[in-house]
Amino acid sequence: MSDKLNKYFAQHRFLYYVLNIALIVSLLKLFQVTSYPEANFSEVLTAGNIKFMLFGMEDEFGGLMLTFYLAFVAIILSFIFGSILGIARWSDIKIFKIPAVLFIELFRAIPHIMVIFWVFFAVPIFFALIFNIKVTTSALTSAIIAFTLFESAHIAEIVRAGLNSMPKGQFEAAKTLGMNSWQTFTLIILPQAYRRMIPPLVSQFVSLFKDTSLVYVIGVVEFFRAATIINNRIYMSFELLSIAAIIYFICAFTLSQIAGHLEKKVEKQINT
Amino acid sequence: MGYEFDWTVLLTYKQLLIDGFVMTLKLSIIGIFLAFLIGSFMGLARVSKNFFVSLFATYYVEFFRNIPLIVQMFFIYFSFTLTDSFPFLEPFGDWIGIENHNEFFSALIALITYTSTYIAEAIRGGIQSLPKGQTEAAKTLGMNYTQTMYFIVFPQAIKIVWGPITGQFLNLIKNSSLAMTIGVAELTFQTQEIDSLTFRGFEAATAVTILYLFLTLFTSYVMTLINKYMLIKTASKGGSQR
Repeated sequence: MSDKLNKYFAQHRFLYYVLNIALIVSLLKLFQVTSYPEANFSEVLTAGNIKFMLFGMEDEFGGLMLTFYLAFVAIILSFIFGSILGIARWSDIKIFKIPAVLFIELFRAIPHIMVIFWVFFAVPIFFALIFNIKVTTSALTSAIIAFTLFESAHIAEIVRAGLNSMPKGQFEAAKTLGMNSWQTFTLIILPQAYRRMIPPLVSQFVSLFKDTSLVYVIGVVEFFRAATIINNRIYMSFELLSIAAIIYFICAFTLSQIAGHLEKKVEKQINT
Repeated sequence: MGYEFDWTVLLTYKQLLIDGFVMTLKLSIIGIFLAFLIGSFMGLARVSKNFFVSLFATYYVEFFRNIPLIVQMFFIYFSFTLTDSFPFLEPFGDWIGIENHNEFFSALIALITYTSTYIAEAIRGGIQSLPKGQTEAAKTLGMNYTQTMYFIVFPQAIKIVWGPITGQFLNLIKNSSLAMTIGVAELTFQTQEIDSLTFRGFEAATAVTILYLFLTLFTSYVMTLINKYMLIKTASKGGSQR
């Protein structure tokens, strides 16, 4: 039975995806009916609350849109910075390699929330100490800087692994064609390596998306903080947090399904 | 302008840092133990031949992996009173010496569910990467399913995925810092405490970062030692290489 189902769903991925979400939501509903029957979703889901959770306050940017914005900016910045770091660590040039190793190992060893606090505390102090100027960073800027630092250390490791996985024959073949090392790297190695890196990169981006909920601690009004703000006002935590959980689940599940799809595609390309 | 460092605050408030470190250790050790246990079961269940067992494990993994840890923590903490639902947690909490039972166990349960999904995925990958000959050979020797899994498949799979599992243990230690958001007094919480008492967040954050570095490096060292021990044990038994 399971083999047949697996085969069927391998061909109809979108149906599988929709069914999964429907099943999870109905399971949660069942859980709520059995363990918390007094829940009242209609009181939570008023037009004002929905608008606040999606777009934030009237005059400022916030809510789920800010979560997406934060994730998008952090993904682009950390991808660029992480690639540079990864290539620096992969290279044999010591002045690039040693700082990259130190940076990556440091940021992989400390918790994400600590990085966010570090940037929030330390950036003003750092500027005061070295450049002797007073800098005030908004919470959102600190969050973006913290995400870029933390995620680029993780992405750098993926980039390095991708570059290491390239077979030696590729370098030798490029040399035979008379290419210099710069041409070899940019025209032959990088494009192929990036294709191999797509699946782990996408799953790293999924975890980045989930981690955007951590900026709660420094007071950026993104989706999760918006939900807790409403919770502080009307105190219906079960309803609000289960709605937040479902929304996060749907977004992250969509991304991880795309990652799975890409992984199959990439495997096919490498094998043929 | 500038900024004058004052490292003596660390000495003045060293008791806070020690308490935080012990709390992080408690969360990490219990969390790692239970997450590994549940993750192993879920990983084995995902490759089970029983349709409903594997379906349950799949949904467990997909559900808890795709919800941010902080949302899970808040959900458990604000929606339930754990010590009312599970009265045995109260004496257990007293035994390991914590004061705020609800906060601690909410954070612990969220950490376990979140990390166990990643461990389950790693173990499933390990089991599926084993050659089919292993299970077939075990069948030929007359072993039943449980024996095959326990003696043949699981010990080999765990050696293959030891690296990713170590990474997940380290992630659990680092993620335990999120427990501060619901008020568990662990290391990151104490940074905030020292900052609000003395306005010396920079020094406190430096000290706590070094403590985290020490903790993660020490854990990965221990895990490497365990891996070496496992390999030696296999070799001395005359076991074949994978």
